[in-house]
This record gives sequence, structure tokens and C-alpha cells, in this order.
Amino acid sequence: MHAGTTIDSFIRDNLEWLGRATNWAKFSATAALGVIHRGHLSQGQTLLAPYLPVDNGSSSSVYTEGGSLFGLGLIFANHGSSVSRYLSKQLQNANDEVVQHGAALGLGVAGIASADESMASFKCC
Amino acid sequence: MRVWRLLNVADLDSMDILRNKLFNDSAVAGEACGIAMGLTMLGTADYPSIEEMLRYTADTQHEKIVRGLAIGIALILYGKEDIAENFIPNLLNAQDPLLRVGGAYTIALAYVGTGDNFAIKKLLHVASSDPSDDVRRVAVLSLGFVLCKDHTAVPRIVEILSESYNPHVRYGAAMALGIACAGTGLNEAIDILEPMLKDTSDFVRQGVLIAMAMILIQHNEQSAPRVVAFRQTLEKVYSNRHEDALAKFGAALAQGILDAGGRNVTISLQTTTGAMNMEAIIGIALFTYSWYWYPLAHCLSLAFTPTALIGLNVALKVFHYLCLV
Repeated sequence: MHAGTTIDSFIRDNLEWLGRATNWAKFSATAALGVIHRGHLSQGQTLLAPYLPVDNGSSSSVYTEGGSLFGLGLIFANHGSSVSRYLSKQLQNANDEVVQHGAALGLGVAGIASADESMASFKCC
Repeated sequence: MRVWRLLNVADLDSMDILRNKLFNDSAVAGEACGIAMGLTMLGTADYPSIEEMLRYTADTQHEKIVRGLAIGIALILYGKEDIAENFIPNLLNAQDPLLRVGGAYTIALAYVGTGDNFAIKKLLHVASSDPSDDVRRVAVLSLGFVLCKDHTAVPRIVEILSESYNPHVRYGAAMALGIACAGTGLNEAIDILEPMLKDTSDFVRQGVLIAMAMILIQHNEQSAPRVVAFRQTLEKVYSNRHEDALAKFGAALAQGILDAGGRNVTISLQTTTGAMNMEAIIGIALFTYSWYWYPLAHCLSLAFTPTALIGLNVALKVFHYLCLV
């Protein structure tokens, strides 16, 4: 419902309820942030930063990390070039299959545009 | 119109990384890699990639990976029509039902918006004769993709399938209507879907709710009077304690779709000039894949197109109003 609106009031108001999500529900909930902020290229990575994987291997849940990578891909779905390097690096470095899953999906979704620059020009004419 | 494009280095790098992760043979990661490979090489019909993916479907033991690769292959053949015929017969005749599902998705995406009779005949044949429910379901909903430019024809074709004894075929029929008639509010489509709200099967009801939401998106009482009753139905379904979980999930999704993007977006498989909207089509295709893997339901957001763009100047005053319908 809030897709592309950057209005995350529902999430803020219900953070406690969302916090109870486990496993793949957590993945899905984190990815939902990507849907809400769809197209918000300048702030997208910053907004998801609390959930993205950290290099020093912190204790954040793998489902949150995977979901945030998928969400990042969704935010940049039409403009993947700036973020595909980051996502491919995350995919390469990820040891856990859940994070790999999210990174792969994010890379794929962000990379739709990168695979078809010529088709993008068809879209806007 | 054929477009030949030179693959840029970034794509090949991504493919390398995805391929390496795929060959680790982890089911969860491998499924995502299969889909991502399809997305990265979208519409390129790159034979080496497809052949490699097909080879791996034979090598791996994991069904999830086969499934992911199957839709990945379909994505690579997006919009390719006759070129996809090099692969479609093999996919449709495969022993593995997951590859046959891939074959149905390939027809859907290769012939999207073409209304190609040959493709429709093949899909109808698969829908009525394949032993696997999954394959039949995907074949029926694929009709929605092939006929999305001629959406008024879909109710006629799909009506008989919507009364099938097989609930998977009924679900496919509902989704085909939702896909082809998205955003149109077409009465004939709602005529078929409304009685299905009382279907005995919970997942069929889920499909019907989602399809109706896709059709009635951005419609109000004036443009589609039945949307009022539909909103009331949605509320009844998701607040009813005794309703099946699958139907409730469908109702919740439907409510989100109906009011998507703060009621400022529609779902449109075509651009304003009549060309196919690739992002939307891919979004809906991945959304249908959420039957197997629900987090992919988020991909429907790729299909949302804003309808009103209001320009404001520095003083936040309106100087320019543009309506894209």
C-alpha cells in the first residue's frame, strides 16, 4: 500500500509487532522497506543501512541482512548500475545461504535495467 | 523489432558471481541465483547461459534450484518469440514437471503481448492435458501474459477454465484475468471472478481476491461501481476468524494492491505509447512465482506505474500538472 511512497509510518508504529517476525517473515518484512522506498535512490542505502550486512560479521540476523539486500535491489530496480557492484560484492562475501539468497535476488532485480539499457529507451518514448 | 545489444562488463561479472554461488549447490541460494541469472540476462536469449542453466538442472538434486533456473530461462527468453522455440519444446516435453513449468513461463514471456495463436494453442493444450497441477496452473495464467494487449478477449477464453473441476486451473484462470485486465476494471472479467469468491478451495479464493484487486486498482465508485462491494468483501475475509489462512493472505495482499502507492499507481503492462512495459511484466511474472516462495510477492511493486505527477517549484507551488494514464 505504501509502495514507492517512502511513508514508513505503519512500520514505525508497529515496530514491536514486526520485531516478533522470525526467519523468512523477517526477510520479507525487511524487504518491504525496499518496496516502500522504491525509487528513493539518494537515501535508499542509508535507510537500509541498519539492516545491511556489516563487514566485521556482527550478530544481526541473517534473515534481516538477506532481506535488506533484496530490499536494496528493489529500491534501485530501475537504476541498478550504482548499486550492482555493492550487491555483487555482498553476494561473493556472503557465507550464509539466506544472505546469498537476498543478495542474489537483489542483484537480479537491480540488474534488470543494467541488462537492457536499449530497452529502457523504448520504455520512455 | 530486434535489438542487438553488447553485454557490458558489469553483467558478465554479475553472471560469474551468480554462477559460482549456484554451483555451491545450496538450495536456498541456488534458487535465487537461478532467478537472478535470468534477470541479469533478461531478454538476451544468450544461448551459452541457457544451455548452462539447463545442464545444471540435470545435475542438481535440489528442486528449488531447478525451479529457479526454469523461470530464469524463461526470463532470458523474454520477448524472443520464435527464437524461444529452440527451447520451448524440450522444456514442455521434459520429465521433470518443474521444467515443464519453466516451459509454460517461457511461452508466457517470449510471446508476451503478441496474442500469438500458436502460443495460445500450446498453452491450452498443456493446461488441459499435463499430469501436473503446477504445470496446468502456470499454463493457464500464462494466457494472461500472451493476451495482455487484447485483454477483452481473455474473459471469453478463460471462462470455461474458470469452471474446471481442478482448483489449480481455476486459480490460473483467475490470475490470467488479473494479469491481462490489470487496471482496466473490465466488467466481463469481474463477472467471471465475482462468483469465484465463494470457491470451495482456499487458494482459488486467494487468487480471485488478488486478481480482482489487480483489475480494480485505482477505480472508484464512478468508474467501477463493484469496487465498493469488493472492498467490503475484503474486509469481511481478512477479519473473519474462521476464514482459511490462504484466503486471508490473499485478502490482505488484495487490500494492499487496491490502494497501492497511496492510490497513486496503477498496474499497466503497456506503456502510454503501447509498447510492452518490461519492468511491469517481469514484476508480475515474479509475483506469480510467489506461489512457491512468498517473499517474491514484493516484486509486484515493479509493476506499479504512477498515474499523477504533480510538479512543484521551489516555493512548493503547483506550476505544472501532468497526468499519465
